[in-house]
Amino acid sequence: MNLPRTAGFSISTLQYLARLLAAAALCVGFWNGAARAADDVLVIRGVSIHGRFDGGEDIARGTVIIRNGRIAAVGDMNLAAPGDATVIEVEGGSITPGLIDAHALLEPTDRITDEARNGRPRQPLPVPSPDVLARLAAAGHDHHEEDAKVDPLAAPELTWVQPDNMVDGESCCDGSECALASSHEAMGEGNVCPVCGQVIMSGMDRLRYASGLAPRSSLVESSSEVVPHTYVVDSINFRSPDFDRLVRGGVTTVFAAPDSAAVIGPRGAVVRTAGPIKGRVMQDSGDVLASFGSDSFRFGGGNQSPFGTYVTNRTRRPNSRMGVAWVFRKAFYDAEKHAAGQPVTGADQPPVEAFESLSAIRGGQTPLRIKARLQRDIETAYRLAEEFGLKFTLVEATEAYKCMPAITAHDAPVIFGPIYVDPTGVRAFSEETRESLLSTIKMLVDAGLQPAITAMDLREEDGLARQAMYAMRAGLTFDEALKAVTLTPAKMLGVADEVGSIEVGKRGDVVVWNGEPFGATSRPVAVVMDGKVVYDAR
Amino acid sequence: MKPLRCGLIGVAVATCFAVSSRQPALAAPPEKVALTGARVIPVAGPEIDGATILIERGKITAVGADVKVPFDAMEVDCSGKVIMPGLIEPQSWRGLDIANESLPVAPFLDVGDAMDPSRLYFEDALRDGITTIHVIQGHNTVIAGMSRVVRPIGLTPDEMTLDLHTAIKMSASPRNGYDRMQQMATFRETFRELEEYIDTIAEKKYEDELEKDKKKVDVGPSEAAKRGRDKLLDADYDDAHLNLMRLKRGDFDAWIYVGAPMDVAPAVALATEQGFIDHTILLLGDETFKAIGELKKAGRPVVLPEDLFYRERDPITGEISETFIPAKVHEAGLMFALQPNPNSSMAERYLTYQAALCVRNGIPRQTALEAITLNPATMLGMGDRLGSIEPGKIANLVIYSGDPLDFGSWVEQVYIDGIMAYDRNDDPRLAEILRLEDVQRKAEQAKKEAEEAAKAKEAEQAQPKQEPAGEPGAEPSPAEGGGDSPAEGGRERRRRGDGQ
Repeated sequence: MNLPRTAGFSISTLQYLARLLAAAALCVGFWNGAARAADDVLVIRGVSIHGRFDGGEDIARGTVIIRNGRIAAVGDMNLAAPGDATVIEVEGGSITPGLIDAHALLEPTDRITDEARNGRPRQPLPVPSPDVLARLAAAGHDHHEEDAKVDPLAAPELTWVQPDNMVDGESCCDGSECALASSHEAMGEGNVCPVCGQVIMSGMDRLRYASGLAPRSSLVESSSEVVPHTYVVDSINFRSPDFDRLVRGGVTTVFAAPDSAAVIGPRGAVVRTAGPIKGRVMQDSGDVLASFGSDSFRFGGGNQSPFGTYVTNRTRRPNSRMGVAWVFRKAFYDAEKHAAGQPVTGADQPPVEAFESLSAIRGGQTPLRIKARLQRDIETAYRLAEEFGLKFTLVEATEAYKCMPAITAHDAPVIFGPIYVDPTGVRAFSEETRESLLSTIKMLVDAGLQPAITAMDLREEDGLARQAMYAMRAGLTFDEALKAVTLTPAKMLGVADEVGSIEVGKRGDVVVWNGEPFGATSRPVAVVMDGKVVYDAR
Repeated sequence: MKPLRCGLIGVAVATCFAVSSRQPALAAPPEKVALTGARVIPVAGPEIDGATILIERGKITAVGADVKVPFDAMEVDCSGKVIMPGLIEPQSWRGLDIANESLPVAPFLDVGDAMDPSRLYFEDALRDGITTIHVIQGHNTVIAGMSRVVRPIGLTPDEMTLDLHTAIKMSASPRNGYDRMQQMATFRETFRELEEYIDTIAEKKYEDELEKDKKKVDVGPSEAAKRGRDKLLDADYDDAHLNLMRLKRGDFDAWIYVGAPMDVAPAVALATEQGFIDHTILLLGDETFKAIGELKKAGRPVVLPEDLFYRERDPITGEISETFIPAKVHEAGLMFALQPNPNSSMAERYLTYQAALCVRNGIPRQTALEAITLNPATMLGMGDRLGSIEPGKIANLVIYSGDPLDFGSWVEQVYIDGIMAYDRNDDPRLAEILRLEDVQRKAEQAKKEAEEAAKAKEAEQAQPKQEPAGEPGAEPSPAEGGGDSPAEGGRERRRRGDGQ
C-alpha cells in the first residue's frame, strides 16, 4: 500500500511540477501564439520600389515588409523577413504606393451599362406638361391626349427620340407613321410623343437618363441648387463593381465626389476601395463640391419647377452661367443674412440647413472645391472666390492651358483631369470638353502647382494608372506623375499621414506591377491594402 | 462605257506599276542613306543594338551592327533612337469622303475614286508612324469594290497608291436594311449570275471564233460554253463581272467582314464553295471571337476589331465579364492584325499601344510587333516588300525616341521609300495640337542661353584667336546639315506632286 502512496505522492508531486511547467510552457506558448496570430506579416520581395517620398531613394530590387497592416520596413534584398510571413515575389516587377484618385465619380459606367441595357431608367420619366398638351390639342391632336399621359414606364418598350437628329437610327414612329415627327423639337425635351409614346430627348439627355447621372444619380441631391449639408457617404454603394474596377487599376483610396448637377453640391467622402465595409470610410465629411459651367443646367433637372410639373431647361433655374454665379453668390449672402438674424428673401432660397455649412465654407472650416472646365468658368471661380474670400481646390480645369496666368496668380490647388485627346463616354455629350490638351498637365507642373491627376469616371484603359501614363507622354517625369496620383492627392484629402507613399508607419497600401509602373505593357498584378492582398492576378 | 472603264483601269494599273517599281512620278530619293547608331527592331529577326540601316534608291540593302557606311551615303545619326518598320493599318475607310456604298453589289468600284488625300486622317497616320494604309470600303455592303494600299503622302490617290486592286470587300453581316437571309441570298444570286454570264459569253466566244475560222461545228450550247471558257480573255468580261471572276481565279483576296459569331460559318462556306477560301481574310466584329472554333477551323488570317476588349454584362447575374480578344485568337494559332481604335480617348488610337496591350495581356512581344507590321503586310500579299527591316524591302521606317511599345515614346521621323516624310521637329500642327510652343520655347531659350554662355566663355578663353569664334554661327554644323537634307527631300516631294 505504501508503494502506491509513496508513488502516489511522488507522482502527484511530479504531476504538480509537471503541470506547473506545462502551464508555464503553455503560457509562454500561448503568448507566443497570440503574438504570432496578431502579427500579420506580408513581405513583398524582388521588386523595384517607387514612391518613398520621405526622402528615401527608389530601390532597384528590394523588400517591403508590412506588419499588421502598416509598413514596417523598407529595404534591399538583405532585409530579414520572418519565416512564416506571406511572401509576394515578382521578379522584374515593381511596386508603388496605392493610387489615390482625388475626385472619383463612382459608378457611372455601371449605371450606363445597367440601365441602357435594360432600356429604362429606374426613376419615372416626366409626362408632358399641360401647356404642351394644350399646344398639341390646338394642332388637332387632342384625341391623343389620354395616350400621352401614359406613364412611359408602363409602355412595353421605352425608346428615345432625338429631336435634333432624327436620322440616328432612332427615328420616332418610323417616319411616316408619325405626323408629329417634325414637331418633336417644338414639343421640347422630356415630353412623350402622343402618337408613339416615345420620350423625346436630345442625345445628351438620353445618355443622362440612360446613365442615371444627375438628377437620377444617387451622388447628388437636387431638391435645391445649394445642398452643402448633404453627404455623399450616405449614398455610396460599397458593393458596387466599380470598386472592383478601381482596385484592378491599382486605386486604393478615392475621394467619392458628388455629381456636378447642383451649384453648391453635397460633401464628398474619402473612402477605401476594398476591405471590410466597416473600415471603408476614411473621412465622411469631405470637401463640398461647387460646379461652375453648364452642368447644373444641362445635367440638372430634378429641381423644383415653378409650375409644379416636370422640369425642362426653360422652367428650371438657373439656366445660364449668369444664373449659376447668381445662385452661388446669393447662397453666401443669404447665409450672411441668416447669421445676422435677418430674414432671407427672394426666389431660390437655400434650405435653412445649408446656411451652417455655407458659413463653415466661408470660415474655412469646410473645404470647398470648384469644378470648372472652360476658361471662363475657371476665371469665374477665381472671381467669386475672391469676392467671398474663399479658399478652394480647382477641379477638372480642362482649359487650364488657356488661363495659366490666372491659375498661377492664385495658389488654389488643382485637381486636373482626366487627360484625353477626344472626349469619350459621358464627356462626349458635353460641349465643354472639346478643347482638351495633352500638355496642360505639363504646363501646370512646370508652373510649380503640384496638381493631382484624377480619372473621374474613367476606368480600365483610361483609368488613373493610364492617366499617369498620359501625363508621362506629356512630358512629366515618372516621379512627378507618380506623386500626382499618390502623395499629392493624399495631402489634398488630408490623409497623407496614412496613405500616399511607401513609408514606415503608413498603411500597407501597395500596388505590385509586373513591369514598370504606368508602362503600356505592364499592369497591376497584385494590390495590397492594409497588408491584405485584395487583388491577385499573378 | 466599257472600253473607257477598262482603259481607266489599265492606266491606273500602269501608274501603279510605275509608282511601285520606279517612282518616276515622285522626287528622286537620295541615292544612298545610312541610318546609324539606333536600336533596330527588324521584326523579322532579333533586335540589334547600334545597327546601321543602309537604304539605296528607296530600298533597304543592308541591316546590321557591322554594316559599313559607303563613302557616298548620306549618314543620319540615330543613336539613342529606336527604328522599326513602318506600321501598317490593315483596313481603313477614314480616307474616303463617303465610306459606304449605296449599291449592295458593286465589285467594279475602286476606292481610289473616293479617296481624299487632303484628309487630316492621312496626316495623323503619318504622325503616328503608319506608312502603309489599306484603304477599303466600309462594312455596309454585300460585295463592295476594290481596295488600294496607299502611303499617307501624296496629293492624288494615284500618287499615294502603292498597290492597286489589292482586295475585294465583302460583308457577311447584313448591310443596312438587309437581313441575313437577304444578305446571303444576294451572295448566292450574284455568284450564280456570274456563272450564267460566263456561260453566255463563253458560248458566244466559242461560236464567234469558229465562225471566224469557218469551221462551224454545232456542239450545243452547254458544250460550247464549256469549250469557250478556255478562250475567254479578261477583256471579254464586263465591269460587273470581271473582278468577281478574277477573285475566283485568285488574282486578289476577299476581305470579308464577319460582324457576329453567327456570320463566320456562312462566310467560310461561301468562300469555300466559290473557291476563294485560300484568298480570304476575315474582319472580325466585336464579339466574333466567340466563334473561335470556326475561325480556327477556317485557319484564315483575321483583322481584329478596334476595341480589343470585349465586355459583357450577364443578363441574369448582372456580372460583367471581360475578354481580351487577341489572347483568344493567338491561342487558336491564327495570324492576326491589329488596328487603331479611333473611338478611344487617347492611347488606343496608336497601333503601338494596341500592340503594348497585347504584351500586357500575355502575348509575346514578337507576335504583338508582327501584328502591326509583318502580319498585315502578309495579309495584303506584300509580305515580301513591306513589314520588316530586311534587305530588299521598301525602306518604310519609323524612328522612335524610345521603345515603340512605351507610351512615352514619340515618333521622331518617318521614312517612306527611303525619303524622310515626317519630322517631329518640323510639324507645326503637332506643336499646335499640343500647344508645345510655350514649353518648347522655354526649353529652347534655356538651351540657347546655356549655349551662349558656353560660347561666351569659350570666346573669353580663346581671345587671342578671334576667327573661329564667329564661324559656328555663320554656317550650320555638319550634323545639322545632315539632318536637314532628308527633310528637304520630304518637302520637295510634296511640292513636286503639287505641280502635277
